[in-house]
Amino acid sequence: MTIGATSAHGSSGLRALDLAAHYGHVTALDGIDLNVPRGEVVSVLGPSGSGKSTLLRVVAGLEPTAAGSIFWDNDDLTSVPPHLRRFGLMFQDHALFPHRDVLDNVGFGLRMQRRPRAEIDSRARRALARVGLDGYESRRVHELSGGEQQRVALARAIAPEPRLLMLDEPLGSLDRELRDRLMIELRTLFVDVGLTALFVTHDHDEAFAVADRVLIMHRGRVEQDGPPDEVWENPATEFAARFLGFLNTVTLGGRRVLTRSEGMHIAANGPISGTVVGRTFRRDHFLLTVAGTDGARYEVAVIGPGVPEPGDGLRLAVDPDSCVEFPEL
Amino acid sequence: MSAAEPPNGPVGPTPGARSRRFPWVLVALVPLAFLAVFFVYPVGSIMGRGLWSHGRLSLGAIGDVVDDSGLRRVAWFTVWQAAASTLLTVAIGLPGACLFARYDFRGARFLHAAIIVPFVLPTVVVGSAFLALLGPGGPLGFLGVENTVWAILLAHVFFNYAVVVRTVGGLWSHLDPRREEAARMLGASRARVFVHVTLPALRPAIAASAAIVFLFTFTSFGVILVLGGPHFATLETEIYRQTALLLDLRTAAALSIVQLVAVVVLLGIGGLARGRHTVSLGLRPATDTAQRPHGPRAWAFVAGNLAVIAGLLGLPLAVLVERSFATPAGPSFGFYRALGDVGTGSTFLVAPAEAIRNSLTYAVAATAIALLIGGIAAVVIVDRERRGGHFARALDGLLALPLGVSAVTVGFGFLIALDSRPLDLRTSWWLVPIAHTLVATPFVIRTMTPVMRSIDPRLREAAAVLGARPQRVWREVDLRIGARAVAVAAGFAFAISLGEFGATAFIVRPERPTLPVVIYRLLSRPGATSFGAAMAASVILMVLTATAVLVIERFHVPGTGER
Repeated sequence: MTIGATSAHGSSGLRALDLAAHYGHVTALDGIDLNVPRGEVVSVLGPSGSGKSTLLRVVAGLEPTAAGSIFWDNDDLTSVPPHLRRFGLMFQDHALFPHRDVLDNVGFGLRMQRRPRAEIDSRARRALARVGLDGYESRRVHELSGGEQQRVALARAIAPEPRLLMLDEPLGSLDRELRDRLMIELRTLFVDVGLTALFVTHDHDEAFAVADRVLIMHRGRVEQDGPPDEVWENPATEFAARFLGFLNTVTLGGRRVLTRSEGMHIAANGPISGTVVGRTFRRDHFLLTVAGTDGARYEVAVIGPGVPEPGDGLRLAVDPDSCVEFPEL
Repeated sequence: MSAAEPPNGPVGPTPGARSRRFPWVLVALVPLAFLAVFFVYPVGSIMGRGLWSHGRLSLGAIGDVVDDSGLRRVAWFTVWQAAASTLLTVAIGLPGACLFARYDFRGARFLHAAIIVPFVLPTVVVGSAFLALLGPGGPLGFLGVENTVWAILLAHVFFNYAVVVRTVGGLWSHLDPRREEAARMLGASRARVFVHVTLPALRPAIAASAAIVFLFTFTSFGVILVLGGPHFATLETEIYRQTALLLDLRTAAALSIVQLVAVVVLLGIGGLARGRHTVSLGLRPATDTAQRPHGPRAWAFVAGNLAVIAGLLGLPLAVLVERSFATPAGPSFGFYRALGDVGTGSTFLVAPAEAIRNSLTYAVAATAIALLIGGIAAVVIVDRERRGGHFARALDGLLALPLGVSAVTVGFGFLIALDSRPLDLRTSWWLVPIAHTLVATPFVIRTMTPVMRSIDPRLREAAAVLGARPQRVWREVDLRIGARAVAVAAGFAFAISLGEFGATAFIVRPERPTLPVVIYRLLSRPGATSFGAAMAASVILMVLTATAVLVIERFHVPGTGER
């Protein structure tokens, strides 16, 4: 199964220019530029309501564009109906056909391409095997667990070998353990197959683990677009920074900066004093919520032993290297 | 979720999910044209004949009708007995709908098909059955309701129970029980769950079935004629009396107009009550939602419903069957044999086998036309509703009109209007199935639209993204998921055609009678043997109908998760 040509990397694929979309009077997309070169996996990260699902629907052709254009290589797809775009979309709630069994769901796209029956059968089975569901062919959709439905939806989306695969919160409704496992499997699948993929999530781990590039969206606009490590370390805007966990606002050398919970530590001679008001255990550390005497609240990651209890007083220091600064702060 | 997130499903036209270029308006014209030619034109003709005097329109007849206090009383009685019948039917039918939707027990499927039998029995037969049941010496004679309005109301519930149970139950069986469970966990009592969660979700189906029951009881004819005696008359029986007995077309036409206006007004009110928006309910397969009853409470509920079905539906039918065997010489097949004999030597009566064949062929044709016309209408209605606007409701209301117009008027109108080229259909075989189609189409629409409305729009989008063209999307998603509704609609249409009497009596060729017409002819002949033979023919019709409905509903698409 080869989708797209990795040799053409970077020079072709999906290009969306200045996309805009409205729901009634609400602007859902506001001048989006987007590139997904062949073979690349791009994740769109943003809070609920940021317009990221709309972006997928517009690219899929399910929503009309108010402005802008969509290209694949050099073909203008802006007014091409969804069934002719040869894109795949994995829906958030899977949208599996309840009246068909698993194999029929997976083979649907190939049937639409009028492939020979034997080919449909073997390719659908192959797609099912790829998501680890061999043996589920004749199962009914509503008999499956959430994780299994999610895999069927993925198999259905990849079976017709779309030139662009889009996924809307693909791991959204799954439990953490399953999500962690599927995240790795998704990444493996994308790389193995050389898929060109665009996927949407509100979950940081998902976005950064699976993608070659991360796009941060907010209020229908792109806040930042870059490789995962760069975006994670150097958020381009205050919104991006806060969304990515830079929750503490501190004064460092007379300047207001943002830092993550890992960017602060307990220090007997630290400049900030406060009282612990909350303590939660986070697998490899404790997260303390500290009410500062300056009136601010701080989130601090602390590794034991001797983690302070709620009510304890402490002093905090900031690691200058882990801070980001924005002009408007 | 902020306002910028896409709402649950597209709000406007979705390009591609459905082609903009597809000429929906032209398609919508098919049912409208059918209605215009086979309903508006004939009914209009007969009304015009009544109101057109000396070359000009004279509305004096309507004034005369409105001024006549006797006719005013008839009109008032018509309205309130219909309202009371509807309330009673819904009250008794809702638990029945719940029974079939939520509980899976031995014989449930058979019972679900069997309850439709009363709905399609010829009204005169039901009238006789209730007389036998409630009269002196009858099993329920001690109630003393024989000559009261209660007899009429009970007979109406008997007739229409299946309408409520099947229409409401059809939706109920697909409702996700987890919503009710969620409400229970949030602290709502069973009663409050029903009022605040279940009832609002069922509202469209309840309103739709109530509208149908109201129309049927509003234009009730045979039941009132037999059970009402001299005390009770409705607009329908009055129109029949004026047309067929007094030959006063002017008054009959005026009454028809009054009836039609009342129906339009009441349907309009019903349409408003139904609400504008039907949300996608996230329906689940029926097999998922039904479970075996457990606990004394559940079993008491099942038993209570079964008792209602047995008493209200079973008893009159049992009396009917009992009478068909109760020959003077003791229980025997005598009346059935007599039925075989009456075919010979009589121009009025044909062999029962032939009447059965007539009824079945008419029913096949009527079902096919009704599915075509009603199916197109349902698709257009659901499509237009999604885009907003009033066209959908108008079309729905227009096609329900024939239910509100006296079958007598329609039948008579056919004879008067469809007698000249190019519509000289007076002697055409098609006249009967066409008349049946008029009655069956609203049922087809009302059975199909709730299911089609509730199809998750994302399924269509998923199909489109996977490469299905708009027509293919329709075939793969709407038609497949709606297949069950189509089967139920077909069952309804077939049964209605088998039982239709009012219009058929006017237009059927004498040598090609249907089974109900044969029964009526037998009933109007003197003698215990004729009456017994009528009962025997009624039993045959009953068995035929139940079998047909069972067989049709067995056609279901594999893998739809339906029972």
